[in-house]
Amino acid sequence: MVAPFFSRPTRIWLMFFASIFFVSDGFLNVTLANDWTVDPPAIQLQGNFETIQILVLQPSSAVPSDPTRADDLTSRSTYVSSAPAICTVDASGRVTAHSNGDAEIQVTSQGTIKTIPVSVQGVLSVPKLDFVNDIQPVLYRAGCNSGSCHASQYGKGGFTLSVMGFDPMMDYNAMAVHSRGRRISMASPTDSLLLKKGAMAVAHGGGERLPVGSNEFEMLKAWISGGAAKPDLQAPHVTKLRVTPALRVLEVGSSQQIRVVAEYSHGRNRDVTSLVRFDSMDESVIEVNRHGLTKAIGKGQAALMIRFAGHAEIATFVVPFSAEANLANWQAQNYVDEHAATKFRELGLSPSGLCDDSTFLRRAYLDAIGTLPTMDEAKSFLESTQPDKRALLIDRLLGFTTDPAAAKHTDAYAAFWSLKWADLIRNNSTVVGESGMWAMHNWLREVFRTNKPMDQFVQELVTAKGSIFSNGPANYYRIASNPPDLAESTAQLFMGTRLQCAKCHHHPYERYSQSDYYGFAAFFARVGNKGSAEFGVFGGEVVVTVNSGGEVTHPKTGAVMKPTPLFAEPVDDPQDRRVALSKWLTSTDNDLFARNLVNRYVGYLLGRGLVDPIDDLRSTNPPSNVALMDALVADFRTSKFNVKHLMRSIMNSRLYQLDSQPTPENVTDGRFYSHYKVKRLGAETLLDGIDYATGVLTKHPSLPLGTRAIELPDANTTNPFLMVFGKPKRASVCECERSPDENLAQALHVLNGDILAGKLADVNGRVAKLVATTVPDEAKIQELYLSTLCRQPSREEMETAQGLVASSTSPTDAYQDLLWALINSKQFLFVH
Amino acid sequence: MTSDLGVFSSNSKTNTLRRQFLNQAGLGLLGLTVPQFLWRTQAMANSGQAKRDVNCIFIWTQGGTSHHDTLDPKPRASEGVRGPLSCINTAVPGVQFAETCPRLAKELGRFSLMRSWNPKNAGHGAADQWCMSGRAPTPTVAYPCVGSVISHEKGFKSPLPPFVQLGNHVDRTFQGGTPGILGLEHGPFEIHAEANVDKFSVRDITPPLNIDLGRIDRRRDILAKIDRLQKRADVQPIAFDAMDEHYKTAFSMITAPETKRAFDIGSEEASLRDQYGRTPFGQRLLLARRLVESGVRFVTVSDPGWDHHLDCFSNIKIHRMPQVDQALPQLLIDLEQRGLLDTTLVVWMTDFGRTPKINPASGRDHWATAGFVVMAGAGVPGGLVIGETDAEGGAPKSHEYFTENIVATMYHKLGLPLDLTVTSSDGRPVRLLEGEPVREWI
Repeated sequence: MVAPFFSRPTRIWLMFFASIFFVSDGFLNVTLANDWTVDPPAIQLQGNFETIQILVLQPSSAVPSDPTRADDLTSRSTYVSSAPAICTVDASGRVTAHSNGDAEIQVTSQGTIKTIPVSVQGVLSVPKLDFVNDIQPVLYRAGCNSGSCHASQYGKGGFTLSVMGFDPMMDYNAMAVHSRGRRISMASPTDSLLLKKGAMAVAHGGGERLPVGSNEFEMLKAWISGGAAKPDLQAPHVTKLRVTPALRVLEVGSSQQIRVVAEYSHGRNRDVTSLVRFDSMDESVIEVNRHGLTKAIGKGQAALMIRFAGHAEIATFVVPFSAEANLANWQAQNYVDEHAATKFRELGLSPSGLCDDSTFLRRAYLDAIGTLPTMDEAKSFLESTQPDKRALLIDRLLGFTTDPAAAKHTDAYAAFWSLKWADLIRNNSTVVGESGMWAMHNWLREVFRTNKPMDQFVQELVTAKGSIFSNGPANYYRIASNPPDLAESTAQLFMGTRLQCAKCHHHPYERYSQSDYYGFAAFFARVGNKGSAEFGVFGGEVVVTVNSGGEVTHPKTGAVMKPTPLFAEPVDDPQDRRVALSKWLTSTDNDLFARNLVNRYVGYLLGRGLVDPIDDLRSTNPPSNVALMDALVADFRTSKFNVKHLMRSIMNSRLYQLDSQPTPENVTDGRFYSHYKVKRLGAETLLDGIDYATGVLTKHPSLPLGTRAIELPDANTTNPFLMVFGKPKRASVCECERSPDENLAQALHVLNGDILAGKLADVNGRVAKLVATTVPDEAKIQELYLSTLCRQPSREEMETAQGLVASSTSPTDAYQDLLWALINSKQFLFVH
Repeated sequence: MTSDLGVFSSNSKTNTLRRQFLNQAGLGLLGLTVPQFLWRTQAMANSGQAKRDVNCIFIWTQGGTSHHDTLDPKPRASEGVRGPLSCINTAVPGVQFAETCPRLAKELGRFSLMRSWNPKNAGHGAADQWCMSGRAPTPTVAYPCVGSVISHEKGFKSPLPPFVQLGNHVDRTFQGGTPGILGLEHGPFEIHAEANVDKFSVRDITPPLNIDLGRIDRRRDILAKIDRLQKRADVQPIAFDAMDEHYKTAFSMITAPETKRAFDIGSEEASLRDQYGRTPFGQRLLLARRLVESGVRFVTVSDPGWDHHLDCFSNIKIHRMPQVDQALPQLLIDLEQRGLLDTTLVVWMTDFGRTPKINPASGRDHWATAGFVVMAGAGVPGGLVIGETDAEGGAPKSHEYFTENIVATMYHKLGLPLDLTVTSSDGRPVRLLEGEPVREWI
């Protein structure tokens, strides 16, 4: 991003560039209680406009030894410079160089005074500024080159910049060359249109961005008066951002000043706090001002994102829910619970209790196999007195059993998880035809029936070729067929990486550049296809082939891209580049493969991924529980990518088996699993559940009666119920395509729709049959509860239902109404 | 939050309000959707925005209406291009339509026609997504259609949903006509039932057979009791609160007299129904007007059967075009008489144009570089014909506009910021549209 520097021996630049100071990494390890310290203890500033952020800290009175709890006095101290002509200091503790010489900064805090010596050198009468390292950050921070301003497709007011400054030459030309150079005036810099617009001295749609006299304004002005130097493509570039502090525990209302140091390729460190952009990644927990003062406003844990020169880093903030978590009843079932407990302690967050057996039963069935237990299954589980019956049930649902009678459950497992992955892979007859769709579907069913290890699954998919009618996974190359689409889909599906931003510009939250994007796309450059002679053009059969030639070129440089994994050296295979890709994808070199799968399955089972969004893994979006993520990933690797093993580890944990009923203390937590997160049943699961509860099956077109909705192979459906409840169209690889939202149309449909009405009133349905029997009302009511909520009614529920039946003139109406109400109740509509 | 207007922060006032609301309620953390109409209606009442709402009736003739055989004929082209249909003069001197459009020709003073639209696309499905959202389909980001954006930004105005789609003739292969990243909550309320039949009833709103309003009330009571017994404490998962709100709204929608009135197309004067034409399209368009009057903000009227690879001319002349030619001018007349034309934007789009050369089956195939767009109402000047295509109707010769320009015009007319940036349900900031409105229409 920041181009290398220094073909000419610019000692000048070096001098102005670096501000050397002494940051001791252990500065927070203050041992003297109730004594505050300043950091750095001495300041050297080198060059025009250089700034440095002072931090004033006091060890925590409660835990003096814990640096993450130190009290930040920076914003509550006062600062005075002994020689403002040499350097000034503002109220936030930021020191700015003005002329060469020595000075002192007097810091007053808690009624005492400390002094920091300052030495300023290398300030030139005509400052030299570097376009990439100094000017572009100013534009970036002011928002000039954001997608909604001058970096939008057509720019604004005829002035177009590259998105977040990824193309320095384009920006330079836009500023200094285009429009006959009228945007800058070297003769009279303050008359430059650029500055007048930025300062709102003339009308500017974007408002005041660069106030007159601000450091940013002065830097731009100095760049112009210094001759508006072109981007120096040899300039040193940023290699790393160092954020202080990286982890901080705060209370609501307290704050912390951040300092950011950029490390450059030529070994210099530079305080860039005043040049970076700060963004809160969770505005309900922390807010940050443009100077990096971060304030805790809500409880939880949040990341602060810091961006500069194409790099992004984070600082983590923890704002505990209470002083101490109540974990008296917490018995860890496995490693998941140990890591969960550590997090609860860290956050002072007390989890809800364990859920009861019937809740667990329903939850486990729906989460593992997308199916409600039958009444018999429910009764036998509820009546069982085996102490480990939950673990046994999990094994049975996942098919970890030697009992052949239980093997039938793996069919539902295969159907449910094929559905999930068919959604993600986008299997769809509209795109690949009926035969292609069935081939892919059958392959997926086989993958999940046999519990194929996930690395093999992905290898088969990514290297697939041959007929799309006879080789299911080959359809992957019909669903997306050009290298960019394939690169984006593959990165998102199997690495949880959203590469698409980098197609056009540097990724705003990541290190990915256009080179990374097109290097990755190059893996797919030689995938071809041809019509099959066997079935002919109109049969629609296509054969996926690997061509001997074909390249992807960089859209800007025109360079032929070598096939290159993300952040790795190029790899290749003489026959098929995709073989090299699939090996790398599933190798230990690629941590994101296991991490992405673990995160998805945590999300499916616990209602939210450790990383959220579930398919957006990146360094600036850390897991909510890093240790738990690492442990699950290690376990998943050891099991050789066995998802059933992964699911078993999660489902056996106490964490998974927590009650969904929040406590007043943990109700606001939606990230740390303090209570089970309820989720609406998916469209297919819900329709199957209603079929079972009402005893009336749905006939799906061109499939035999009895085919369940979770078994549907295709995205195309004309079933209004499935459409209203959001069965995905399989147009997107994003998990978000299956919208978990509850909405009005759904409420109307269950409440008032003719589909449910028809099933309730069906003469062969559950209600009709039940009314025709002579069993007592009590047994009838029990049956309705068991077939919907998988539990017996409570005493009050039984009395209420009996009262309803007794007061009604028509038992049929009464039981229909009761079943209608149960199906519309939250315990039915939600996995809870 | 950052104090400066950042790369991804939205300019939309409502988003700020939303953030404040979420912060106050402590919900931002939970990533959950509370029925947004609640606070949006509130927000609007506070800002006085509700005064001059512009609504939209969006007509979608699915399949790709041939521009040659309707609004952009080429009488001087060779026979293999111009086809068997003759031309007629319109109310605007020098402008001719095909003989299939007599009433539109007579009423051209009421609407504006663009002949220089370049769809840059000749695929079904992609067309629905592109024309309705202004963005080409992508495998990773599902851009929302304009109706969903309206629902998201403006919310409910009455017990009726803000976005309704009549007919199911929208190809959703590439998520055309859907809320995409905005979430199901903002999808169209779909009415597939035919308005042109005597017993017109609306699925999910009209109670099913044998369920009268008394029984609905009874069921509501039972559900309330059963729910109360399931509830174990005052605090409940926040998704449950959202569900309660939706049920409350749903009950009021089913029972509200406004709802019944809005759908009671039978209460229209028989003569007016005749003037719209007793056809599926005609009655759908009349229903669209009733819905807009009753507080729906955006109505998509979809019409099937325009993919004329075979027998283009008789299909258009006999089956498809008479319905549109009858009803569309009538809608404009009706809206004007009711004083609704200034606040109702009417748009007619179709997938793309069709091939200049007639194929051996007397049909025309998909054509990616030419087509037409009709717009009227909400200040669009009537009688204005923008641009022209070349001698064979193959590509725009002047005033070329693209799909994003059409959608940007809709944004502009409907009061949506052109640079609207929303946070998708999974937390990604997405700028919805890139493009400038059509100058001649604003």
